[in-house]
Amino acid sequence: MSADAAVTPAARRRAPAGDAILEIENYGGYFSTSTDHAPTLKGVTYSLARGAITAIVGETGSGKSLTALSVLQIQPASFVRTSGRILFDGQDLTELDEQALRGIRGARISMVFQDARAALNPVFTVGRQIADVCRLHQGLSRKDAADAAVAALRLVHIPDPERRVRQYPHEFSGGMAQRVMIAMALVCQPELLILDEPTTGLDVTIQAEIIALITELCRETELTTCLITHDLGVVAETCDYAVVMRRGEVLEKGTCEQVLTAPRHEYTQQLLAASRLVENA
Amino acid sequence: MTTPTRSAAGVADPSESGVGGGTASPVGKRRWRPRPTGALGFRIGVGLLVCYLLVAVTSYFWTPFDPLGVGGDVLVKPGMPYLFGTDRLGEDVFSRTMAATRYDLLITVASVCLALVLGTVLGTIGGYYGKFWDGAIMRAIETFNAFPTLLFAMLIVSAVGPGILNIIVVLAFVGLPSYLRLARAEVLSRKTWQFAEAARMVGCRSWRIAFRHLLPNSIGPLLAFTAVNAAWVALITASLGYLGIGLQPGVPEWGSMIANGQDGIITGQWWVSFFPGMAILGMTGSLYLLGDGLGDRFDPRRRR
Repeated sequence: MSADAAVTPAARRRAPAGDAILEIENYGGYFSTSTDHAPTLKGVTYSLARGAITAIVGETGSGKSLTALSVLQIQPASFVRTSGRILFDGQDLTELDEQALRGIRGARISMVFQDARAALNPVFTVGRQIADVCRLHQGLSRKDAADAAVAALRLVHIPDPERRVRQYPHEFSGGMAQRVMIAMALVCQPELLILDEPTTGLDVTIQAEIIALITELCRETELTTCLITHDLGVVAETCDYAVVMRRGEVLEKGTCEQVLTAPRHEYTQQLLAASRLVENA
Repeated sequence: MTTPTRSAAGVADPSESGVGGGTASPVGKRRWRPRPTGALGFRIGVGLLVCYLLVAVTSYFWTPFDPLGVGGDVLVKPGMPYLFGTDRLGEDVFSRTMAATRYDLLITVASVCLALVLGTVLGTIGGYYGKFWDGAIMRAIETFNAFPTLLFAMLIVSAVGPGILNIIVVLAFVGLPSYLRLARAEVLSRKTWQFAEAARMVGCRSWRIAFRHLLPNSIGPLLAFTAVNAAWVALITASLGYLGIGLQPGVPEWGSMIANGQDGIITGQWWVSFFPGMAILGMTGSLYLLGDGLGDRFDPRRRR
């Protein structure tokens, strides 16, 4: 299969054969607000290999974000789980109490949202927001946390971090704000990073920069990453594994190479046909 | 003494906004609260309030005459040595106006702070946690709101008796629902915003999200309202004094001073009521200006 490396450059690296850090098993449920209580998630099962970048691909409403929110147990309150479990490092996250979950959120599992500017609190400087996460989880002093915030901004290549930490979210462009979110997600050195459509709503050039940054950071530290996206081009370029979802079901999963070059499911074939990848191939 | 500066602010307001509007659009549509005026009004408000505070503090150590001293010449016209004249009992109006500042200022500030803190905490709890707490808090508040405010304040004051502490507690209690509603609405409107979710995502406790992430976003509107509400409380304090149910009789207070002098208005001794009235006007005016400026100042997006 290495002949297809041109299509999926990421696959040139040997996909890490590590064990799964996160296993979602038969996870299902419905929204209590829906009239017919039709299941929104139908037995979602996938796992994230340690140290690898896994893409979750699917159209809007396929349940990919909902599943990701469930990992941190911050799914909407109206979502009722009917089956399944989510194992993180052997612990079932659906069984944990609020206090234990707080220790995991932001410290061991981090998440980056789609709209970074909305996810930052408008009345605090970005430095303070990053520092707050450090102080919350690592008990750093005010001074150390402020230094950590500057270091975090430098890590995501924000120019002049000493000045930028003192600025407010509205002074950041969309791309820069997304970098801040990534910095905030990484500041406590999590074991798992979930990116929920991190480039949606950004310019194409900025999208490429953000994706390059994410790839660089994840590869450097062998950070397990879950990239939720509907951009198959990004999947091909960066990911090791891919999971295809539609209407609350996992249709197909496997290595990126296999899913993109030899899709087994009809829907994946349609997705590929609809994307630009076919032209390139 | 307070009118000249206040009217100056009033004159500056439209002219400033006219300039701002002119550059923004040729139609001359007014821009909402232009910055220079806002900053100027804010400074004037703060400056005046500092003056009031200084007068209040000074009155503890020094007044030209004893504010409670009866027995001088009665109904002397303003001039020297009685700057604001004297009243029916021969008390110096200037000294009494000075001494009254401390009572009116203390009552206003204390009751407003009490209402702000309690109302905000309860409102945030109601807004953020919803369900049972929200229902319980809101139903209780609506019960009190069924009574007209001034009447309610009068009823309680006459029930618990006069005294500074009683008035402070009653006025705080009467003002509480407005703060509570405002804080609740503010938190409620923001709790589904993404940054609240993001705060939860990084592992914050729920009270931390409510009070450290959501509430600071509402501090501008809350403080702005507080200042405007303080003006209203100052008026209510004076009204209670005027009706003679606030403080013990004889204690210098602007409202009761106006009541004392109201017979004189018809017979030409205007000064007994006029100067305390001006003091009330200046204080409410400066609080309004302060409130206007505060709303801008606490929003980093509107700062700079």
